[in-house]
Amino acid sequence: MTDEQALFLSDIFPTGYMAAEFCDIQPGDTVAIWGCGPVGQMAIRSAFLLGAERVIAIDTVPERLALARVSGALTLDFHEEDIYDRLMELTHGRGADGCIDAVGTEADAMASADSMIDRVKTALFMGTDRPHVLRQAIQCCRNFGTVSIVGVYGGFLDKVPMGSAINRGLRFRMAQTPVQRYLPMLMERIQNGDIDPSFVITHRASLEDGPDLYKIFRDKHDGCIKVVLKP
Amino acid sequence: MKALTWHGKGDIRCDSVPDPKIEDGRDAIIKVTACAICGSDLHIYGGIIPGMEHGDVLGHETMGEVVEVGAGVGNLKVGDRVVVPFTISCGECFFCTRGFYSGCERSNPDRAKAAKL
Repeated sequence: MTDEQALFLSDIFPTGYMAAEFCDIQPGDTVAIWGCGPVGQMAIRSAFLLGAERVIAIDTVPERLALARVSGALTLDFHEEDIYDRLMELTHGRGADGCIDAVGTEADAMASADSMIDRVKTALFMGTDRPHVLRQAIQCCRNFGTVSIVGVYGGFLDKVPMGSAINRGLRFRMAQTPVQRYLPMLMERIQNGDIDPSFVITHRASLEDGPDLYKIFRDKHDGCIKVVLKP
Repeated sequence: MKALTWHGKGDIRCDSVPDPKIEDGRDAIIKVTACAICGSDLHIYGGIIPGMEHGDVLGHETMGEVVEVGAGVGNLKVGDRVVVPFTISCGECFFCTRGFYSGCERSNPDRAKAAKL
């Protein structure tokens, strides 16, 4: 096993895998995943490993959507189409069986009206988070489906549609990943060739280049999805 | 050794920092062979994580080769290749023994605050 295959056992592979595992995927299931960053990419592949029939991946960054398609996902661009309408259309009006939030507190501030309001509220210290993706994941989840949260939130969330969630019997699963619990099993998955987590790496550099790479990764420049630094 | 260190919002530098030392019998020191930048490191980069101080070393996705172990370490030896989970856990407390490593009672010094936030 190379360093690049093993490295993501530290965080993003177990986190993406746990997100998919939370959905308790059954044959025929559709899993919708918000966020095609490194964790979202791991969640897409893990959902297929766990038997999902279809994965619908949501983002707006072209190269991230392209990588999601390479993994077999159907992709939706939230700047191009209405995510709720499209997901309903794709699921006979029921919603996805599992909805994974791999975005968390820093949802795109320009993605929707509620995101813009959240952005203003956080700037004025009237709110702590921008939970647009969580709201939408709840709305897009089928009755008695699962909302799986691995995107990180930091505080007290406003306008989360708990009425919809309780009346439709949604199940919420979430955690900071207990990584050690997943290590033996996921190491075996890599050794068996079920998955090679290095597929997500776009940039390789030395530690000295780290400060520049932080900027490139933050700005999503140069097709950057995941950076690996070596001494 | 070299490390990426935090000096404020948007200010990360590659600095020389003191080599780590074994401080506790259960410590191990690894020579890093590869590490990665995580989306959550960007929260620190963006200055939204309170409690960061000048010179703090960044990064939590890392792996390498064990070069030194404390006297109390029984499951690692010099030369072993290891990946470091981002969840630092004791492995022995109520939560760790139940598999909930990210809920470790002994590794988070600010547990009361974490429960409220």
